[in-house]
Amino acid sequence: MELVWEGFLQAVALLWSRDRELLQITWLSLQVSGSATLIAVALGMPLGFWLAMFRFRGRSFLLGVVNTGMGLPPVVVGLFVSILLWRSGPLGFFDLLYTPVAMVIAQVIIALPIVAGLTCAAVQQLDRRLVWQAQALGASPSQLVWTLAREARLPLLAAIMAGFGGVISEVGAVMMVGGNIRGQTRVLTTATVLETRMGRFATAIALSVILLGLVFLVNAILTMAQQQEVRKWRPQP
Amino acid sequence: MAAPAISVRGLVQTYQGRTVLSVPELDLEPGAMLTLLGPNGSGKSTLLRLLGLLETPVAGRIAYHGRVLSHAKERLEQRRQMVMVFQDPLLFRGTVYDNVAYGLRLRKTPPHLERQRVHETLELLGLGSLATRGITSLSGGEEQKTALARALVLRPSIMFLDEPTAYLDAPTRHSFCAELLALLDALGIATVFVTHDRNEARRMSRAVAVLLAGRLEQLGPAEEVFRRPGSVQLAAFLGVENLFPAMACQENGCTRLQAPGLELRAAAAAGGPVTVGLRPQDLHLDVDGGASTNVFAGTIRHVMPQDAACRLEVDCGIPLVVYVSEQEADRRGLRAGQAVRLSVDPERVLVYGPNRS
Repeated sequence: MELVWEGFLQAVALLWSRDRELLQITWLSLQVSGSATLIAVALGMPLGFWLAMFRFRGRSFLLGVVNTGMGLPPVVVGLFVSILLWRSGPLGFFDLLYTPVAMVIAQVIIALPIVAGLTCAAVQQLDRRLVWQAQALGASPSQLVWTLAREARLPLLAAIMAGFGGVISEVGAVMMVGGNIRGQTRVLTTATVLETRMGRFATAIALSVILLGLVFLVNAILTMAQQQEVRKWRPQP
Repeated sequence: MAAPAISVRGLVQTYQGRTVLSVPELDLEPGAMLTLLGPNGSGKSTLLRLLGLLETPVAGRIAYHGRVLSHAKERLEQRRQMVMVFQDPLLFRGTVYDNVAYGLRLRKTPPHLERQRVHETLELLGLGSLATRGITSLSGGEEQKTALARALVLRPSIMFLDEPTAYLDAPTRHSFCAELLALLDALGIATVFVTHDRNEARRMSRAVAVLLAGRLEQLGPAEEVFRRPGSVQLAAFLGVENLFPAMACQENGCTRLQAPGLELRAAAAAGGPVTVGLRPQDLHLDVDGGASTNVFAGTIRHVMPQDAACRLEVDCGIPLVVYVSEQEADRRGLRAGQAVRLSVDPERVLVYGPNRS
């Protein structure tokens, strides 16, 4: 217990001193997971809308793939991305292994099914007749999508947040494709693993506190949006 | 003559290989009102969605003002000339104002014009004071009116109403219908009104199209459709409560109908086995013995007071249902067990040949 407490105090001191390396690690984490989330949203949201709004051959198969993908183990993703990017692998000539770009690729693969799956669910839970109503009032296809997105904005926000939460806290994939190189590909999760292994609990705890803080921030935004919505929906006098 | 606002030819729709709708021919003149009447699942809403360009039929064509539209862009243009109000208000999140402004915003209406038109329409429907209210705080009637305002603000040339009164209670529904009729008439909007309630259909419009099991069974002026339903199924749906089999034969220019326990005459019909239909409102209590043909003696089995009339079940060999006014029922002191005589005008006897039943 003493270890935890002392570690915690040292962590506070470390955070307070704004250790350069700590800030750099945090910043890289945000950059990698942030851009992975952005890309996953840019690809996954249209995919989710498409899966929800249209009936076509192979739809249920694709939906099955997406839903399976929502529970994809990060180490498995890390393994396959590593094999692809390995010097002798099919994409080896890009020389991307052990770079932040490789980490983004791996995290996109993790976040994309989460965003797509939750988007699809969010759109599907809307009243089917809202589509007709919007069209009957003159909505073009793009205006229709915009209308549905507005009606489902909370679950869509949750989909984005779940995507981000999934990648910011994963360690398996970034470890394998990033390599945890100091100053280059070291992020909060991989650094925590390393510091713990080396017995530097204070640093590990400091890193964990930052990670927890980020996750908390993400959820706070979501909760606030939800509560605001609830207030808006309360009957007015 | 101007081309009809909507002209349907050979329209067929199927869902998963099952034909759910087949309409050989249907026209709607500009500014006219048509009621689509049918039981649940008869395809009325499907027809409405096809007319509203919200679905694509598997066969047939729909022309709007004489033009058949094929391109997505043309269809969107036409869809923006029309509007639909559903059974559920289906309001979007936000305020009453946001909802009413929705269609105008889709059409990129300038803000000052938007404000003006929205407020005009809200005033028209008596919703002026609700503009800034959130939609969750509205009553059922207010929601329904908001949905209507959201449609009317677009000044459509054609309006589709899919049972917009289903969730209103009876008194509100009557006044809502009356207001709506007056409004649509004043604005000159061609309207297709869908309902499963035959009384509402009668109240609402001069022209009625009846759908049964996906088929357009009859189309015509309301009075004709209700007085002379074209088939036994239609008769049963349109409230011809007395339907029974009989044998028909010709006899000096008119038809004699022989049913078990009952004999009557009709104006003219084919011979052979037929189905006879008698509307409860066409049967009279024959008190003074004035009628000479089609008089049946019977005993009252039940007296059931209803909204505007009194429903009698009279056993005349076969059970017959008769409507008499409440006043008449009171004056005669009608009660179960009483012996009465019924009569019916031969012109009002409906006869359906075997091929049509």
